[in-house]
Amino acid sequence: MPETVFNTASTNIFLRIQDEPIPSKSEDNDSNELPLIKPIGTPADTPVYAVDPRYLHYFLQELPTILSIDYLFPNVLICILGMTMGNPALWHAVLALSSYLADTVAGRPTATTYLHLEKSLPLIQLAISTLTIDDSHIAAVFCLTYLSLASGEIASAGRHLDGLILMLEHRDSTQTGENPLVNAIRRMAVRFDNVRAATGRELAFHSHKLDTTISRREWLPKLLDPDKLDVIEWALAEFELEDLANQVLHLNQRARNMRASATHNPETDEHELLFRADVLLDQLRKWRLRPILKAAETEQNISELDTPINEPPPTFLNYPSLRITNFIYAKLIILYYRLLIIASFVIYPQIGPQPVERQEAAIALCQHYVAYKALRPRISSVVVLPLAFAGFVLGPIEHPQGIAS
Amino acid sequence: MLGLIVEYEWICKELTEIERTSGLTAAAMAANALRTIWQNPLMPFWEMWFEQTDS
Repeated sequence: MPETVFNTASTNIFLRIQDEPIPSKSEDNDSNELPLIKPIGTPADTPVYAVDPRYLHYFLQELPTILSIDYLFPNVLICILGMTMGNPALWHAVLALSSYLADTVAGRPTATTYLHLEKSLPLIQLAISTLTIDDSHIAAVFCLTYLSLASGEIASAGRHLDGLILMLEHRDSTQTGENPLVNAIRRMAVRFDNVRAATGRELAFHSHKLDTTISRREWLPKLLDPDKLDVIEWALAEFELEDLANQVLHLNQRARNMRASATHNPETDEHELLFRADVLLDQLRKWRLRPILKAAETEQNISELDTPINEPPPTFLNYPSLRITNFIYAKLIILYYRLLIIASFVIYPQIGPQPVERQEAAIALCQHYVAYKALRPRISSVVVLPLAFAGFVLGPIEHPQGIAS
Repeated sequence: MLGLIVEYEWICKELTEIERTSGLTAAAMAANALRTIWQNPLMPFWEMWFEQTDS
């Protein structure tokens, strides 16, 4: 066996280096740093350290409640933030959205939002033009769609939404792998589409194309806390309600097209519209019989019996208060009454409290809104449109409680 | 003298409040749209609503 010649410090430079003390200061400057690690610069388009941490805090802590996904998809925004690494289009979209909401609440100018938008949009456009779209681009357009909706730019939201839906279709046709995050984004896109359509615009989603090939019960558990599987039932109830909203809004489009047509025949057309609306209203009534809703209703009734009288609950003006303890239930019932009102506007496209069922729905909506508000740290955007529709019913001209002077 | 607070004023106030607390400008815009549309209650609803949200 040959003799080892590098086993002593005198013959091996690496053994000698190990014996040398590590200096506490760099040779280049006075800062304390390890001498063998060269500082790595931040990539030009990843300004992680320059970002106001309040925006990221807002994105993770406040936005889930405002989007009303904190119970539904609690990890979605965390996943999206994780995807921003190496994806500047998404990174800037996240910051555009969160900076807009955080700055608006704080009363600051929203200039930061537009700086991030200027960086995100060209990168998304480039990905679309070169067909290099991935899930981070889908998430980015989702953020920008919501930013437009939140800022009241419905037409702009519509353009983003059209793009988002095309990107989802492109993904369906080119990728076989399921991503629960993308399915969640798809469901939120359905919700956004319903908001847009409720302002009189065309729907992008056809009623038979609201879901992916994988069943809801299959992908939902992958996004949820295993200890909170009852949330699946709430999620399914919400999805079904938004699917019904899609159908009601399709009926609205049909009604408006029929009435604007040169061949419009009021006798037959209105009869058909009424029939179709009745079918949908019947489905809505059946929706309200879902076991999870009935259980929450029972819980509410028990709560009303148990609550001491010396605790005055918040009320909608002087209408009776509701002792609701489940904010998910309260929100879904608000969305339910929103649909009853919209269906009423499909048949009778005139603002005001008639027919009486419309007025009853508007009052019930506001009562549930008060209960919902008391249970939430922040009000979600999903109740904005329902409140507005209640305002089209309970207007300043005719209303049950008098006239404001 | 303050007028009777009616449902409509209550809804407008809530919408404005949502903008202040959640940053949703859309809520305040909805309140403005409500006021505009109620100035012309006999106009076709969907067309007016579309127009008020066209930005």
